[in-house]
Amino acid sequence: MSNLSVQTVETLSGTIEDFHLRIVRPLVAYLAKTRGVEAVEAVARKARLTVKRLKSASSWVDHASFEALLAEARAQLANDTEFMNACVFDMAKLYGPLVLVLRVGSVRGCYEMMERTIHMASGVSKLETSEANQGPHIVLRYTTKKPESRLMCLSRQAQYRSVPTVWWGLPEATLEETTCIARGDDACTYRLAWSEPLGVRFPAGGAVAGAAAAVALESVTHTPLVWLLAIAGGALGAAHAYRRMVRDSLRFQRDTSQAVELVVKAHMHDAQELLEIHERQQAYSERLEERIAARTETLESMVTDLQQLRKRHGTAIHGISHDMRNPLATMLTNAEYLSQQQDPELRVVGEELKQSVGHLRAQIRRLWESGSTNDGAFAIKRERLEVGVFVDRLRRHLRAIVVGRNIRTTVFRTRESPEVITTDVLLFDRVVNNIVSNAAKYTALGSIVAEVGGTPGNLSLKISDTGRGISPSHLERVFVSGKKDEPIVGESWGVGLSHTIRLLDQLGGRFELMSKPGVGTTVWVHFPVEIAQTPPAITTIDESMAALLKRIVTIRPSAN
Amino acid sequence: MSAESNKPKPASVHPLVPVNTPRPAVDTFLRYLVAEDARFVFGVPGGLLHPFFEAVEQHPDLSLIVTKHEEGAAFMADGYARASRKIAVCAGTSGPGATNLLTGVSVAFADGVPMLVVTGQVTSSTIGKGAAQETGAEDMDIVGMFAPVTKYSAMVPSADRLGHHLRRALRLALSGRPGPVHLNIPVDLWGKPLEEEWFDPKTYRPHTHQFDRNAVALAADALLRAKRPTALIGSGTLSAGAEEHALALVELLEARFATTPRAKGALPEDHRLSMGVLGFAGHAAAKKTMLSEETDTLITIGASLNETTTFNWHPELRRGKTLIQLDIDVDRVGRNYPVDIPLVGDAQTILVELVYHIHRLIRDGASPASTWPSAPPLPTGHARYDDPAIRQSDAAPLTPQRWRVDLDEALPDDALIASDIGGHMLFNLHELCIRKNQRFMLNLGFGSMGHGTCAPIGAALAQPGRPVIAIIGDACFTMNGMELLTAAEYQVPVVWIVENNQMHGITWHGSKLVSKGRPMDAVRYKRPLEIASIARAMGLPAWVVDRPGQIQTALAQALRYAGPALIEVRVDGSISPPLGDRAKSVAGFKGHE
Repeated sequence: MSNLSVQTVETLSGTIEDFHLRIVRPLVAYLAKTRGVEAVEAVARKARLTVKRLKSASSWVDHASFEALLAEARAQLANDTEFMNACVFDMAKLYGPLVLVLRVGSVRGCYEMMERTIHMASGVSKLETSEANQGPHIVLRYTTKKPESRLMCLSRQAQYRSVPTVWWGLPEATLEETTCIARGDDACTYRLAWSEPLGVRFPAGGAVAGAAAAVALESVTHTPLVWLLAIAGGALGAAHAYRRMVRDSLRFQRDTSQAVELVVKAHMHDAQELLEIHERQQAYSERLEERIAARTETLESMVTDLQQLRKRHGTAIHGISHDMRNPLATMLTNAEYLSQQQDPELRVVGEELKQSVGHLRAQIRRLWESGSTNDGAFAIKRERLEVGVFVDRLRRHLRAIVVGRNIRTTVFRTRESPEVITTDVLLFDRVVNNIVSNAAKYTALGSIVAEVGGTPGNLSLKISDTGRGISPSHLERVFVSGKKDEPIVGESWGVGLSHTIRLLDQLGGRFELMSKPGVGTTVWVHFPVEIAQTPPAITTIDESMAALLKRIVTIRPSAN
Repeated sequence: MSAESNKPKPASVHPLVPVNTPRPAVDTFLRYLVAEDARFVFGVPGGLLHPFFEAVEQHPDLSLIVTKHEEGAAFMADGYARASRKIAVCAGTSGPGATNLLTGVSVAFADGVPMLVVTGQVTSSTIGKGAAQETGAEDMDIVGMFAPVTKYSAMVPSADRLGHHLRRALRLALSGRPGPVHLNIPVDLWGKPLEEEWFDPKTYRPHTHQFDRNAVALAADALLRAKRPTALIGSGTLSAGAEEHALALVELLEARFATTPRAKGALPEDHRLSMGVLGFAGHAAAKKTMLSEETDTLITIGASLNETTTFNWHPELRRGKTLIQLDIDVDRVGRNYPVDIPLVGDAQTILVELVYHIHRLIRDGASPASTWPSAPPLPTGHARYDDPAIRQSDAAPLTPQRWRVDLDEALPDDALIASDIGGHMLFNLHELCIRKNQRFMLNLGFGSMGHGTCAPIGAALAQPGRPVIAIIGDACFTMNGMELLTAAEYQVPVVWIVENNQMHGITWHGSKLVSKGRPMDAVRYKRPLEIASIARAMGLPAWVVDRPGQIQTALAQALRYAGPALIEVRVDGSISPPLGDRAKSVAGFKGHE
């Protein structure tokens, strides 16, 4: 199985919290030590886990993976006994300083704690204890929601039996099994018995030995005093047991002292490191504060300057916007006059002039609004535009801007075009006007065809002119703003396209261009039927133009 | 599972309902109707089609319009389809319910209107045994009756074939030259469980439009070289939605144009290049220009060149000209006149290609050779019409011409004007000037009276918000006027203007022409007909107009009313409509002789 599939299954199985891998941590450690890393890899593979995850023993697995893990581990080992030993391998070491905490309790307490904490190791199992008296024995009843194998039971038995040994250095508990899930029972039931410290084995042994000696001596000495030997033997046994307890206690004390010493040393080391980090952080913070203070001062000064600039700018825009209304009013009057003339051509020009003045007024209003806002940005408006109305307007506009010139104009709409689009009409008009004006400006004679069509989700405007076209070497240049934005003499297009592209980007549109010198230019502009709720940020810096061109502009190769 | 079976099906083909969940066949049927954007079903419910009507009534996306007569249902469906350019649905139960639809379906067939006709049938197990209202193939074969007036007529033999027949019917109705289709369905099939694979309309009804590139190139070249090019705009232009494309072509070429009577108003009649209507009740400028060698190249767009357009197939229409005929139906190309350049296909597609090709020729240095710009301009105003004096007459009784002049002033800019058949139609064709964004609707292919009375109801349902005005005659009103009750019941806002001359005017005046001045007086009413009173009795507000200058106010008031309304215009019946050529045809001799 590939790594990819392992990852996939792991992710899937990781969502099921049946058993925690900490249960098999001793088993994995044992395998690594006795059978090598290949054995661990084999186990991980069977359990559909990564080795890293298996070794870290810090996550949950599903029941099937857990069973597979145990089965493979068992296959790697000689017999059930080795398997059970492996399940409790180096338990105390693996549990670290937790051993110190547990040693303050009793064996029974430990079993009872297991009953309460089994959910930390299994999400599907339950452990109950019984036998109310406080003697060195207990009955554990284990139930689970999953059908379990015998191996699960054996691993459990090994760990339950080892409790007195792992925590207190006592002999292993004896385990008497009465029922087992693997054999079809409802639960696994174990009766565990263990020896408490200060047992009667050595005093009793000493007493028995003393008594035996007394029996032997009595036939020789015939004095009942020899029975004192039994008492002495018992006392010696007790003394031995005490000495053993004291030795164990000393050993535990030494271990504990060593562990505590390690903990204290580690703590001191950590504390020292923390102190150093804190000092460095403090020094850094001080320097940072100094810099921020300096930068803030600079920024405040810049903001003040910018605000003043903005204010002057806004005032200028307001003034210019206001002053532009006067010539516009004159133009509107003249347009009204023209539109009332008998000559149909003059009427068309008049109507178009009125439209253009209206358009300019709307732009000036938008400029005025931008002069009044804090950020100077134009707000995108979502307005409904009927495509039929737009086509009529486009037809009039195109006819008006070529009036008196030997250029034929054709505007039509195809059945693929949408009925209505939602867009910022002012921006939309600016894009269309720029493109149509370019077509008209750079077509000396011939014709201009405008087709309003559609692609799924878009309104498409195709403008085809019979201008002189653009040479391939100039195609890129026509989009660049600034000085290069000057018209390319003798060729079509070239003015304001960079500006148009920025406007189009705000509408979420796309632009395509195909041109051939001596033949003409065709552009396609695609407007989304629904402008986005949050249009893209206005690109204002020249550096972004290259990215913008790459994103929304396509230059089509011209047909030969 | 094999890799092949894991492959997803195309997005457009997916199970209609979850597998193993069959639904009644009628559910499938209605789902297709909704997918084709049919929003109304027009008909008269009855026993053998009850399951269908019941399902339509309960469907959230469909509305059942119960008409007073099945003919009215077919007419309304026709009006709906003409206005919306979408499939319309009408239905009639078995027997007379089905045969009553025939006239309306014939109208749709003659004019190329897409319509699905559903008729009822006795249960499939009793066909041929003489059940009540049975119309099976062995007796009164309803499928056979519909066959000549539809593009497809079939009985659905079993529920599992329903999808197949319905898709085929819809494909044929909406492809090529549109037209009506008929499905006859035994009553027991509607409720049968059906597991049906769903086909999206675009998968069974492709939108491919073909054209001959060489023919387009030839036509473009001929049109560009033409010194006196003219265009005849037919009703196929309307069916294809190619009005503005035709206008773009004539403007690009500086070609003068006329419309056929059926296509009146397809292009604005007040356009500087418009010569009005050619043919039946048409205009002198069109006749003079097209029936002479003044025209050197004639392009016809969606015009079948039938009797009503061609002055009984006048040879001068062809003589001395290059004839370019564009039609979607190859069988109509060259049928009546030899054609120089045939263009077969969808008008919009071909016109777009023509415009682009002409554009390319201009780019290569050519320019339109039309000399029309330097010719004397076309007559405008009253001079454009046959009887300028009568148009301006203040006489009482009111002249048919004068009240139409008044009406022209008052018609809303986006009005849809429907005409019925008769003398009033001739006045409508000749005297009204249909402007940009207005639309004129007429069933001249089959010429059925009553259509103009009912179809506007369907049109108004198709285009809510658009003013719909039906100009009909008193005889049409007496034929199908009860459908005004339908409009009143459903509050469909149509304004009927009924021209009342107390007779079948076209027949009376025509009889005088064909019988040496002896009119057929039998067609005059024996007692006065009070149309406004009848309308009021049906619940419509009604006005009577009998003097010049009244119609404007009456129309404004009628349009302000939210529901159906009627204006009765009482006119001088002695004024003959412009029917000269039609009368000659009826009399059995050709108009040009």
